[in-house]
Amino acid sequence: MKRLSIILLFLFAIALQSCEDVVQADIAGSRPTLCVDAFITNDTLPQKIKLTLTAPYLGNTAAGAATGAKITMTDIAERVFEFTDPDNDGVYICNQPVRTSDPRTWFPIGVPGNFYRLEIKYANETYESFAKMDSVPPIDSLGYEFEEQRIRGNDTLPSGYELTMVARDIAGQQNAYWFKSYRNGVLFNKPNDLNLALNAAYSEGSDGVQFIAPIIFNLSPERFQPGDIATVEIHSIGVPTYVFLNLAQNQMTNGGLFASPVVNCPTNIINKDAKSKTQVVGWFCAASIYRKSVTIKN
Amino acid sequence: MVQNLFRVFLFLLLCQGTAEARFTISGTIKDKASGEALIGSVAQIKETGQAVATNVFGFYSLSMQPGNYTLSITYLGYETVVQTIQLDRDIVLNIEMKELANELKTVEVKAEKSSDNVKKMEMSVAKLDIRTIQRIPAFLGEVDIVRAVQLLPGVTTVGEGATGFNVRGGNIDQNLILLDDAPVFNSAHVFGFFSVFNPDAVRDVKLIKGGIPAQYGGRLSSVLDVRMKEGNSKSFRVNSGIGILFSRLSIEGPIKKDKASFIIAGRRSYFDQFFRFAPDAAVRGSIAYFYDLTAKTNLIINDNNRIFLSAYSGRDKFGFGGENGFGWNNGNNTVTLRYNRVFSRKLFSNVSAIYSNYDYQIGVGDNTNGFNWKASITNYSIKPECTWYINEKNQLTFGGSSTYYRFDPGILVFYSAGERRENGSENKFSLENALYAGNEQTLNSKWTLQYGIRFSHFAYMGPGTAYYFRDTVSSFSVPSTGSKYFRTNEVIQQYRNLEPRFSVKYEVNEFSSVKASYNRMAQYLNLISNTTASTPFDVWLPATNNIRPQLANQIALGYFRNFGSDEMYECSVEGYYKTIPYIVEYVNGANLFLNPLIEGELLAGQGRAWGLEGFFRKNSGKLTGFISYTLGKAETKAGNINNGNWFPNRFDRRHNLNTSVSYDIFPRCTLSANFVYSTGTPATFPTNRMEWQGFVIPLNVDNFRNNARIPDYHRVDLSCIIKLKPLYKNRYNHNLVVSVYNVYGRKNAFSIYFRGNPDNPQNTEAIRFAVLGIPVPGITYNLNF
Repeated sequence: MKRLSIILLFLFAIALQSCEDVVQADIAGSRPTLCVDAFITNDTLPQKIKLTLTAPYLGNTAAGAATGAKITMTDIAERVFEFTDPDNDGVYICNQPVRTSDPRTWFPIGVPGNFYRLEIKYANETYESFAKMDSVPPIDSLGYEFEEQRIRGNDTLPSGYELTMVARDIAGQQNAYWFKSYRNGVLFNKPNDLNLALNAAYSEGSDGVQFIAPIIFNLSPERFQPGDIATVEIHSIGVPTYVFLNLAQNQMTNGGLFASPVVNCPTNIINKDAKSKTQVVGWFCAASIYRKSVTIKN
Repeated sequence: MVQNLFRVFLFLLLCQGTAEARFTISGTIKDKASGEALIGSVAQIKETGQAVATNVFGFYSLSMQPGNYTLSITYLGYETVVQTIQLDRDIVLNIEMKELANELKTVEVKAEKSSDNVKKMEMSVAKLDIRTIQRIPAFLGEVDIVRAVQLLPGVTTVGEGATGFNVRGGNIDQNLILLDDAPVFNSAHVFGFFSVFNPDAVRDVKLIKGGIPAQYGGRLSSVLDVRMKEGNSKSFRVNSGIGILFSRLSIEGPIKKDKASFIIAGRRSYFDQFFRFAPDAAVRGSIAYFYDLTAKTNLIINDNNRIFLSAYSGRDKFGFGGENGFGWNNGNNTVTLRYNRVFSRKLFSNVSAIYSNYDYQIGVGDNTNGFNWKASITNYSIKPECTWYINEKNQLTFGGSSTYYRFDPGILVFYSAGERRENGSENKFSLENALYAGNEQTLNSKWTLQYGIRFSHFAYMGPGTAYYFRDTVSSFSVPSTGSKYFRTNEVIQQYRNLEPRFSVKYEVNEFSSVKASYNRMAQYLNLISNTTASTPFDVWLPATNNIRPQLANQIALGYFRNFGSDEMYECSVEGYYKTIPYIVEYVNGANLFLNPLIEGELLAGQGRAWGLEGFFRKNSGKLTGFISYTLGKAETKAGNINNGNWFPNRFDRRHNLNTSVSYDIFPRCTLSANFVYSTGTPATFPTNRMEWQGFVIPLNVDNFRNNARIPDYHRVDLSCIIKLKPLYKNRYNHNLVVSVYNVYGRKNAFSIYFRGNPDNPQNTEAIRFAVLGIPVPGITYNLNF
């Protein structure tokens, strides 16, 4: 729906010369709150969890680091992973693969189908959260097509290549995906680039078909040129994370005639002491990744 | 409770019984030139002071003891008709009234009485005749009914060009908008910049905000009753207009003189023609236009029988050119068939059969890759109604209505690489019935009462699946805990409500009166919308096993006073207090699109609103116009939202001041101006920023809904109507309307929203979105013959 209202607004803008400008807003009542940024994958890279303290909205200062926490994660096999913060910057790291005495049982933290429990002890409070790692479908093919220069909104898109992809939603269950695309290793990571899917589209009824055209278009927020390496990753984020990210995207790209009200994104981080008044925000997600790259040629 | 109310009702009726012989004078009152019925003209007997206003078909009836009387008929802007009558039998007297010539109006004001607001029973009512609306400076010079209604006291809008209007702090779906009795589910063209009503086809507009009579029901806040012209029954007339955005044409005339007439009126915008000049090929290939067609015909079979058929069809179409071909269209269709019968001189009846539909469709692509989404609401209803002019003290209106609804909240069909999938909510069906009776009773020359009761019944029926939810109070959506399938016409859930209505008027003297009213309203339909302005794609849903009917109680007290020579000034002050024991609210982050479990996204809330409205109008002279001011407050409380505390709702505006004045500077030139000021609407502002995977997400740390307000709104519009010299032996009248909307180009905030800077999303900003930031000139040429 977000995209729909953008197009709606675009038409409207031509017609009525609507205008948007940056203004000062009087915002009272900000308070630093612990924010958990936990996104665990089946990659072999070191896994990271970031703890921050929220900053005032218009202050434009980066969030402060929440240091001194004790983070442990357990999986359904009762393996325990410790996350530590050697640099004291709020980024807690767990090195893996997990070594056991028998090298044949080395495996990464992330295993599709596995359940995880996260426990964070910070400032005399204990928080916990749960996540399941879903399976991810393969990318059957990744290609590109030449497109002429075109005007889009107020911008001119230079001529160049846009990605084409054929991949199919896993049939028979509710799946949610986050498509990340990279140009020469740099992730397109603006709020508008956030490319999500619920099954093969944006709804429950789109089970088991190929990912629809808008998802493919959105793999190319900018155009690629010959020599660029394009990488696409599908992350199986699960339906709860889809709901969280979808709302987050709406909030980050809000505006216009049909703006939705500002609401807080939900959190799946729970204070173990139900009576505690200390707030916590953020999200814990476990996703498996399928990755494919292509080099753009003339 | 029910029995007691009926007993009181009967008692009040019966204690009026008199045994004396009485005769009745009745008939219809019409415009002499066009043959149009004059709604609300007042027939008064000079000797007794007894008066009655004509109904929506121009019918009146008065009963008196035999004798000689002087009957005077008055109607704003018309020459008063005075006639002596010898009442020794029942008399039918049809009267044709002559409109005051314009020149006469400015110098000779005697014939214009504006005492209506003091004398009439109704309160919290605003009547706008089309001539007043035509003088109000309008956006792009195009006369618009809903935009004019937005200037009235107690009426606000969420912003420039938003659909509909908000009455006394209520949502737009709480207004029953009737076009010749047919409900209009979306009153907007181009999102709300224009309304669906073609001013050339409209005769009368009445907004009822309080003291709502028993014949109206089904919405909480107000009734906007729009009556179409019947068509000139004397001669052919053409009205046409050419503006920047669209053109209008209407033709009316007799089919058989004084027996049958018709009107057909159309509008079409040519806005999309400008796309040709756009630099972008995709824009050049785009379409964007709206049209509407309004038609009505009526047949006078004889003095006692009359038939009307009216219809409306309108549509907005937008299509985005280029590779993805995205487009949508939405529109209303209504048909009303009415049969009037005068059973006796004292009993007037009308039966209406009504069809109304609103639908929209959004789509992109084709059957290989694409999607298509359709949704609609359709209803069929029948409404019999009788008015019984019992005696000079009592006028009883009773009747009923039965409406069958079909809701199609939307099915999304889409194709990916040729494979088809469907998603959405199934159709919902319901039946709404009502029975009502209301009496207007004159106790003596000082006191008049109006009391009535409406019994409404609503059944949510199969075929369809009912979903059940755990009954928990939450601020996020709740999962369904079960479902059950119901067969066709099987009742899933039903509701009954008794809606008492009561008004009292005390005439202090000839120039002033005090009125008070109470009404209870039930609403069984909801427009599901959670955005700042309602979109054309919002869905209508019935009350279900999860959504209870919305209810509102309102009391109002008002003082009405006219003064000046010939009561040229009228003013009123009204206070109101409303409680809404049940209202639909939305969970935080509600997912309202194509969601079969949409009911899990809704919350039971309660509302309250109070306010003070002042209205001052000058009706005659070179300078005419009005000032309306509202001090208002509207709050909601729902579940855990705002930690269970009251919060201002989306339509709450503390101060609202609207003025509209016209000055006849030369005989052929009228200057008009509007000034509009209102407090900014409430909004939720984020207090903090949370960072997650490189994104900066707004956070409202204490979770206060509507914790701030957007800046105040104000605007000045000017217009000049120049009457050009009539052409061809004065048969062709034409004029030019030049206007400027938003004269000082204020960038009125429609909303303040928050986002990361598009180039550097790590920098968060507050953005003011103004729909119009510039003065908008307009010019329209109108030709009538």
